[in-house]
Amino acid sequence: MTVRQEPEERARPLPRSPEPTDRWATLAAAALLVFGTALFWSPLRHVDLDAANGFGLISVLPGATLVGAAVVVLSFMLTLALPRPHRVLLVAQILVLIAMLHGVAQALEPEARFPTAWQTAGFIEYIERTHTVSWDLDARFSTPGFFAFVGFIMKAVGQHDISPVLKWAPPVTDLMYLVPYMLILRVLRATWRAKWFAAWLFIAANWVGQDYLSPQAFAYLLYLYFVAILVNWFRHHDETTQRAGRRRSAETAQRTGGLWRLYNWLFGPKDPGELPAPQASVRDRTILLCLLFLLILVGTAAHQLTPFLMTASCAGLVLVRRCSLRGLPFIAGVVYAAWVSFMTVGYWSSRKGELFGGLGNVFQNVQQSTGGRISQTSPQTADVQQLRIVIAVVVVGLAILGLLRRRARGIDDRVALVLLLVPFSSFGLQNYGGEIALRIYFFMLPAACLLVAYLFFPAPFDAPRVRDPRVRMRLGRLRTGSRRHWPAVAAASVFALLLVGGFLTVRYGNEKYEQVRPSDVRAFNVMTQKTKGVIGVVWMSADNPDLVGGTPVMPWSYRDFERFNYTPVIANRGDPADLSEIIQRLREQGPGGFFVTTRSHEDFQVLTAGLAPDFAPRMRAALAADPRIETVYADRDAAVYRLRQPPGEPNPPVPRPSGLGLRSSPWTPAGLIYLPVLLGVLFARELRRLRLPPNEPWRLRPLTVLAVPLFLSVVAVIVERFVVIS
Amino acid sequence: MTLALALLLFAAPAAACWLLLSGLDPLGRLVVATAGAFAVLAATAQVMLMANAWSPLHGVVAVVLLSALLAALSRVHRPSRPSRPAAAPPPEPRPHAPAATRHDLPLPRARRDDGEEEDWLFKE
Repeated sequence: MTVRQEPEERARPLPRSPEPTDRWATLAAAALLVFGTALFWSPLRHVDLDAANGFGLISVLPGATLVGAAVVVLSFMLTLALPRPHRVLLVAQILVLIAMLHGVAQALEPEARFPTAWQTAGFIEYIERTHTVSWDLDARFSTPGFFAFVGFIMKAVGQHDISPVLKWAPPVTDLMYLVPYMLILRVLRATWRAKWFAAWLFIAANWVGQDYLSPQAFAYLLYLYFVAILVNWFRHHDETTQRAGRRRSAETAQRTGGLWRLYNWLFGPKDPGELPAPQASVRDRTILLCLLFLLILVGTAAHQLTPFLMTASCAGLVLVRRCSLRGLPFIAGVVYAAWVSFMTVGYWSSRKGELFGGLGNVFQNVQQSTGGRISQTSPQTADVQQLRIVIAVVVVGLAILGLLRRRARGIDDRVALVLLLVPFSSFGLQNYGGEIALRIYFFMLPAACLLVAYLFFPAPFDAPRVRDPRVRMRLGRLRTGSRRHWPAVAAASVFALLLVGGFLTVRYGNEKYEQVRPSDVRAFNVMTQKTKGVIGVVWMSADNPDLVGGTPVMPWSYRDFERFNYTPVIANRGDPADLSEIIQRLREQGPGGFFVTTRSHEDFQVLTAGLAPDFAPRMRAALAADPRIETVYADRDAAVYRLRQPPGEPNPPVPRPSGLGLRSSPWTPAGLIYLPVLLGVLFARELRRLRLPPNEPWRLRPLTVLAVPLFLSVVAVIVERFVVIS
Repeated sequence: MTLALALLLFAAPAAACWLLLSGLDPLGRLVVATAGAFAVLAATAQVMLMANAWSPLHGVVAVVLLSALLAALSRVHRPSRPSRPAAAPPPEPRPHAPAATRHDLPLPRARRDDGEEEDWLFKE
C-alpha cells in the first residue's frame, strides 16, 4: 500500500543539530556556486560576437563559461541532495541562474536584443507623445493596456530613455514570474525538492523568449497571479476524491484483472495533489475577488490571447472541482467578448472572412507553427529550430510521465493537469502568425515544470529516514538513510545539465540576426532627422514577404511610429548589382524614400532564405558606386541610402492619431448600458456566493434570473455589432 | 534614482493592499500586494488612455489618492475584526491531521482504520 499521509512522528520538530557532513556539503554547494559564477562571467569579456555562426551565441561562448554554467547547475543539484532545504542558498542559486541564462546576451550586447522588442518601444513612445493610440496603424493598438502602463510609469518617474528598460526587461520579468509561481507551488502536496526544482525548471525551460518588454510578458505575469490567487484562496469547499472504501465491497473485490489494474491506476482512489487551502475570512476573499476582477480587466486591455487563457483555466479548475468561483469564467468571458466587440473593431471589421477562416483550422495551425516554421534555412539554423521542437516535446513528454508517476502513487494532480491542458484550447483560436505553438508551450510551462519535477521527486512528503532493518534491499545504501535521494537527484542533474545546454543553444540560437547593433538604431535616427514628413523605408527581402510573412529584421519604428511605412524589394538573386528595382521603389516613395540595410538583416536573409553570403556586400558596393544614389549613412553594420534627386511626389501627410476606433451601431448605446449592469450583477452573484454556505447554491437564483436576460441582451448587441459594422 | 522613484510608485498601492488584507498569511499577503500594485497602476494608465485624459502627473495623484482610500478602508473595517467569528477561533485540533501538511483534510479511510468499529476483530 502506498503511504499517502505523513506519519505523525514527523510532525514533531526535530531538535537534532545539523550533522557535520550536512554542513560541509552546504559549504561545498555555496563554494561551487561562487566558483561557477566566476567561471561563467569572467571569460565573457573577450567574446567576439561577430564571429558567431548560424548556431548563434553558443558558438562564441568560451568553454570555461559553459563549464561555469554546468558548475552552477551541479551546485543547485547538490543543494537538492541535502537532507533539508537551505532556503538562502537555493534562492541565491535561482537568482544566479536567472542572471546567467536570461542576462548573458544583455551583458554582451550594447543595445537591447530582438527587433520586435523595439517595436514595443515604438508603441510606448507613440502613446507618450500623442497621449492616445491609433487603431489603424497596428492591431496591437487595440489592446494598448501594457503600452499605456509602461508609458505612464516612465513618465511618472522621469525616465525618458527606454533602452535600459528594454535591455534588462527579460531577467527582471523572469524574476517577477517566480513571485506568483511561488504561491502556486506552496499549495501543492509535494516535497521541498520537487517545489524548488520546479521553480528552477521554470527559469531554465523558458527558452521561448516571450519575456522581453511586451504585452505578452506582462499579461503572462497577470495570468500567473490570477491562477495563484484562485488556487490559494478560492478552492472548492469539498475536494472529494474517490474513496478507497469501495474496494472492500463484495462486488468490487474481484476487480483484479489487468484492465482493472490499469483502470485503478488511472481513475482509482486518489488523494488530492493539493494541500488544503489557507484560511481566509470572507472579507479577505471579497477583496481578493475584487482583485481578480481587476486582473481580468487589466489583462484583457493588455493582450489579446491571455484573457482567453485566464477564462479557460478558471473554467477548467471549476470543472475539476478545484475552484469555487463558478461564475468567474462567465465574467471573464463577457469581459473578453465585450472588449473584442467594442475595442478591436478596427481589427475584425476589415477581415471577418479571415477570422472565420482561421477559426477551427487546427490542422493548418499545427502545421504552420511546428514544421512550417522551418523554411528554406541554413542547416545550422534548421538544427536550432529542430532542437527547439525537441526540447518542447521532451519537456511535455516528461511532464506527462510525471503526472502518471504521481497517479501511480495515488495522487491526483488536478490543478497541474488543468494548467497543462488548458493552453491547447487556444490552438483553434487564432493562428498568431504561425507561432501559437510557442505560446502554448509558454503557457504550459508552470504546470509542465511542476510535473517534470514530480517525475524525479514524486513523494507527497519527505519519507521517514529509517526503514525496517530486517528488510534487505538491493542497493540499499542508495535507497535508505540520508542518501536515498541521490539516485533521483543524479537523474535530475543529467536532465538539468542537458536542459541548460539546450537553453543556451536555442534561446540565443538566432543571435546572429536577433541582436540589434547601435548602428541599426542610429540608421533609423538618421532617417527621422533627414526628413520631416513620412519616411518610406525600402528594404531587401530574398523571398516574397507576402508569402513568407517577413518583416525587416531591424529596430524599425522604435520612434515616430506613424511616420514609417515599409516597402519590400525582392532581391534579384542572380545579380546583386541590379539596382533598378530598388531605384524604382525609392521613386515611388517620394521625397522621404530611403533604402535601409543592416548586417543583422542581411544575415537573416542568408540564414533563413538562402541568400548568397556575398550578395549584401556586393549590393552595398553597387549602391555606393551608383551616381543616382546618395549614401546617407554607412558603416560596417548598417547603411542608409536615398536618391540624389528624389521626386517631389507623392508626399503624403503624416497620419494623425485616430484614437481607439470605437464605432457605433444602432444597438451599441443599449449595449453600453447593459454591459456594466450585467458585469455588476455577475460580480454581485459571486460576492453573494462567498457569503453563502456551500450547500445552498439555490439562494443565488434571484441574481441568476436577473443575469440571464442581461446576458442575452449583451450577446445580441455583440452579434448585432458584428453584423452591422463592416 | 529613477529606480527608487519607480519602486516608490509601486509601493504606494502595494502598501494599501497589504493593509487591506490583514487576514492573510505574510507570504500570500506580500504576493497579493504586488499583484494589486500592478493591477492598480495598469488600470490607472488604461483609464487615462481610454478617457482621453492622458496626464502622468494626474495619474500619480490618482494612484496616491486611491491607495490612501484603500488604506483608509482597511482602518474603517478594523473594529469589526474581533467580532468575526468565522475565522477567529482556530480550527479544532484533529488527531489525524499531521501538523506539517497544515490543517489536513481528514481522510475518512484513516478515521475508520483507527476507529473502534474494527477493534473487535482483534480482541480475540
